[in-house]
Amino acid sequence: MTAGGNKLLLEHYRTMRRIRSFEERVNELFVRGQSAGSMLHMSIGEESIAGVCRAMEPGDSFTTHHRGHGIFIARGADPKRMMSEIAGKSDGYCSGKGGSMHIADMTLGALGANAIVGGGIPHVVGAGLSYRNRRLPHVSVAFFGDGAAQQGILYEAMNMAALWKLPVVFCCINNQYGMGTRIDRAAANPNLHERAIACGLNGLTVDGSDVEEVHDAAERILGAARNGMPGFMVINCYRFYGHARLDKSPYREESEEVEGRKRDALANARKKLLARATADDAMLMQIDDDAEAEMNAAVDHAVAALSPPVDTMFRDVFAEGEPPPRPLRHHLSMILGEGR
Amino acid sequence: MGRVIEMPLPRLGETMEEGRIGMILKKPGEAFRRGETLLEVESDKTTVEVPALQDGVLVEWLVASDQLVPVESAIARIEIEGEAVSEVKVQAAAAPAAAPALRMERTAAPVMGARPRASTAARAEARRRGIDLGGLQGSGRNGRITRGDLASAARPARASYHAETASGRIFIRDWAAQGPERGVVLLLHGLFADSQGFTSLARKLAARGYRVMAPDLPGHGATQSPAAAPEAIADAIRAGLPPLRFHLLGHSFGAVVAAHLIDWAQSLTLLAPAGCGEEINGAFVAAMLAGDLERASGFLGEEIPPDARAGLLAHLDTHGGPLRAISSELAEGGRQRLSILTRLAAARIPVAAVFMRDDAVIPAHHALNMPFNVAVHVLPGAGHLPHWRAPDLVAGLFDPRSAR
Amino acid sequence: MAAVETTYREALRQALIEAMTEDETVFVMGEEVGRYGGAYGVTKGLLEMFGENRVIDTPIAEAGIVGAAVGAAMTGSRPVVELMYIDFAGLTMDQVANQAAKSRYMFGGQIGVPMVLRMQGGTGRSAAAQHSQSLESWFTHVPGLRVVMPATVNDAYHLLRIALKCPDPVIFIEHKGLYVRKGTLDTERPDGAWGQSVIRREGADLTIVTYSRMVFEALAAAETLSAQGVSAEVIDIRCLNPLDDETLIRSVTKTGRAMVVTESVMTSGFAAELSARISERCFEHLEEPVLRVAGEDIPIPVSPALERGAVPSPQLIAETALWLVRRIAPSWAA
Repeated sequence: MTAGGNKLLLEHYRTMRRIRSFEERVNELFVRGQSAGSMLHMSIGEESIAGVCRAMEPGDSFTTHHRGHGIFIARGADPKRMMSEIAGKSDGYCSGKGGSMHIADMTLGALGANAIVGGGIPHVVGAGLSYRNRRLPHVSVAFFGDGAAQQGILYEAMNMAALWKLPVVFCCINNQYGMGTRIDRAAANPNLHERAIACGLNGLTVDGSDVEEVHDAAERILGAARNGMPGFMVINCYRFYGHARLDKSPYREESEEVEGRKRDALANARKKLLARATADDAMLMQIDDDAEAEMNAAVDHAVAALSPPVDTMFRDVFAEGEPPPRPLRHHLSMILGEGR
Repeated sequence: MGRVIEMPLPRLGETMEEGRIGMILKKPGEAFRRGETLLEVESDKTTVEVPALQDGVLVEWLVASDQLVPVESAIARIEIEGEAVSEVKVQAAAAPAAAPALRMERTAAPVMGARPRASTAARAEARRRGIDLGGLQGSGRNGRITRGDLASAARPARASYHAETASGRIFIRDWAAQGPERGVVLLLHGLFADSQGFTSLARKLAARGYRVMAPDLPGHGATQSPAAAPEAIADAIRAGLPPLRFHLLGHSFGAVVAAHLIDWAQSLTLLAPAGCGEEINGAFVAAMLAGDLERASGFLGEEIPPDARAGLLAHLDTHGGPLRAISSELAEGGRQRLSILTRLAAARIPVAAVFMRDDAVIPAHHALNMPFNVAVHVLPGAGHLPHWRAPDLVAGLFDPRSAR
Repeated sequence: MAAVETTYREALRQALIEAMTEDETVFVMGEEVGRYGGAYGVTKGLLEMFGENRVIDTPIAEAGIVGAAVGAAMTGSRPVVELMYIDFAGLTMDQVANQAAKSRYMFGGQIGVPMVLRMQGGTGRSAAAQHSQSLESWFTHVPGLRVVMPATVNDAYHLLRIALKCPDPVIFIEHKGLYVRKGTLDTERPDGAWGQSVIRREGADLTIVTYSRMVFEALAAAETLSAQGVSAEVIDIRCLNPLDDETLIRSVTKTGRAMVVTESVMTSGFAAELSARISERCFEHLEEPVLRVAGEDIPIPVSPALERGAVPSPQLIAETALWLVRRIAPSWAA
């Protein structure tokens, strides 16, 4: 590995450390009773998507699924505003309208964060059409899980992307579980990238416990996509915890979890950095502490932030300047009000 | 080190009321950092690792593994430094913003020709009972008339009101039936008369169990409507009345109007009807239009009461034009221009016609022109007003027990 | 069997177990219905009792699952599909509205599609815009579908039992906020017949018509109102199709005032249908316009403060009723 490569790995480590700390603090927010609901889907175990995000260029767009916190952190989102959104607060990315599953920072190229499995996948096809027709050099990346790989919409989208040679990448984060169903119980052929090859796309699977491998593969797949050859990459990893915060994972053995959690891109990166002497223990501890401090501050910020005023619920149903929906109380007042 | 606080069992899910203490991971005396797991708690749904919410030292556990503990009760005492994070000032929940201001745009101008405000229940009731909502004060929302307002309004033996229609304001007199209502009689007066002239007949009909309604025809009485042709007059009446199945009674010119409302009728009774023959007393019409009531009374065969005279004269002043228009629709130079005989022949309801043998306005021999389906009664005596001369006999014609 | 206290979830589960025991053609399929026991625990233990052929964990493929159920129903099986959230119905609508609903009619009565599509909707968990909707009117707008929305524990059991004998497709909509609610289950005595509206509380001053979770919000409001001398009749319609509107008409004819309460958004919602029927049939008996008290015309926001404000509460129902009956305006009407 080159010195540049080592420096890059250190950067990956920092990003992945921040993702993990963020997710752990999401749990803290929940335990404090400050999260908006309990539908909090952690991406711990999937941090190597940092490699894909690093391979994206400014101007590239992406869609995410309900487990997208890590992707946003890796793309440069502000943890404070993310945490505020998870707490349903006014200064969250979506003004307290979206919550954990819909955090999205559009200034980073996001086209949405979806809680309908597979819902965001076809949008990248349309984004690819825009870029092709407007002669823009961008790529659009759909992030989704192995669960979504069983939805019909993926195949419609892949076919069109290949047919029209669009700058599109489908990135399947295979954490082995669609909610409680392991991939081998959801797919007769779990080699998902083969489906993409059959559709006429570049297709490959990478080991998600090695962020460098993920990054290299992403560079290749995105590079080809930018030149009109859409791609499909599977990041093989393991979902360390349950589907959502309140999930006992009764569908898998503890021994499997212990084994699965060994596929840890963060720990592997740390090991490599130490082995290559790119960083020492103290340096990495400092990164860890900085990440924790940053995410502690994000929680404190979210707890202290203001809840949105009730009347903001009518905002953004339609474009600014358009009349908002008539509130129920207004409607009732028109009927029952006196003095007319 | 700072102060010792109690650590409560957090609520781990919307439905959780208590939790079972699982594995305890920190011993008394051990230090921990924010985010480190202190213990596990099982709720009805899941097992949750409870992290430290701030750096500190565990002083003592107040619970043991496997113990069932209510949410928010103390489970440990911990010593923390400085200000606890859990005391971060929460401005959020404290200030639930006010609901949006509910300023309503008031309707600036009242709707022209708006009907009185009334609930649909009150409208239905008023229609059934022939109450004019226009004359009532509503006690409901925004002055709306409620069914209760109708109940409290003393039910008059006779009501009169205006009905607003596209053809103008139709004045209607309405007599309630005494006892169970057996039907509704609609009385249509003749040229130069008005609904008041039916008072005596109406009372007798009401006593026999009929509700009686009598409009002032356009050009007459208190009705304000420009209609002059019989069809237009019939349409105006139709618009001003509820869609009931009436027993129709038309006197003189009113018989012509009645013939145009035949599809509405259960039965039709004509008194000294116009439209059934050629002749009509042109001198009578001329005397009326000229305000020569002495002369007109002579032809009518009845004395016009003094108060009616005054009203009639005032009316001729203001409504002379419309009356002339109607008169010329009806007749010209002693000749009637209209015939209702074809309409009568086509009627599928009982039709009766009453003539006065010595009527000086419309001759009794028109009885001979009647189609065979019309029952004809020729009463002895003079005059053009059988309902004044023989109200009991006329009222009897409506009684189903009387032979038609 | 005597009446027992149990939960809505358990009542549903018991209905499934009894139906599957009695009728071998009944089978359950859906995401996480087997090993996981259902996202809301309704199918817990069924896999162990009936085996993998009758309790089928599916991939996440809603359109395919419902389509497969249509085929199974056409070939002698009686599938019960669990759709984890009613919001996912969007993915299934062709199979539901164009296939399941229309097959009997389109083919002149030659074939039926006796399937039950269980799903849950509603607010209360900060599950945000794509997991909190009340979409019953998507289905009531399609001829050929039966649509039921039980509120009580007893109805959860009985309506599901009847749905599993229905010759046509039944959309069975549960509420996520009701699963842990306790109530009395009497397997011998249903609250009412299939397609019958039930009076949950008698009253004289106004009629509150509602269904699903809002039944309890309306009953709570009625309790508040009674303390203020207003007597509200609360009717739970239970079945949106077939719909018993006679019970509503009789009630409103008596009270002269009607309020329809739904959690779903007001515009083009089922409240509009109920309101129209009452207005048409009770026109001459109404002292006031028929009121709709429904969800705001907005997607469901995640923030708990906003989410609570987006749907009717007992307080709002009571305030509005007091305004309607007593002309006492609530503070927000200033």
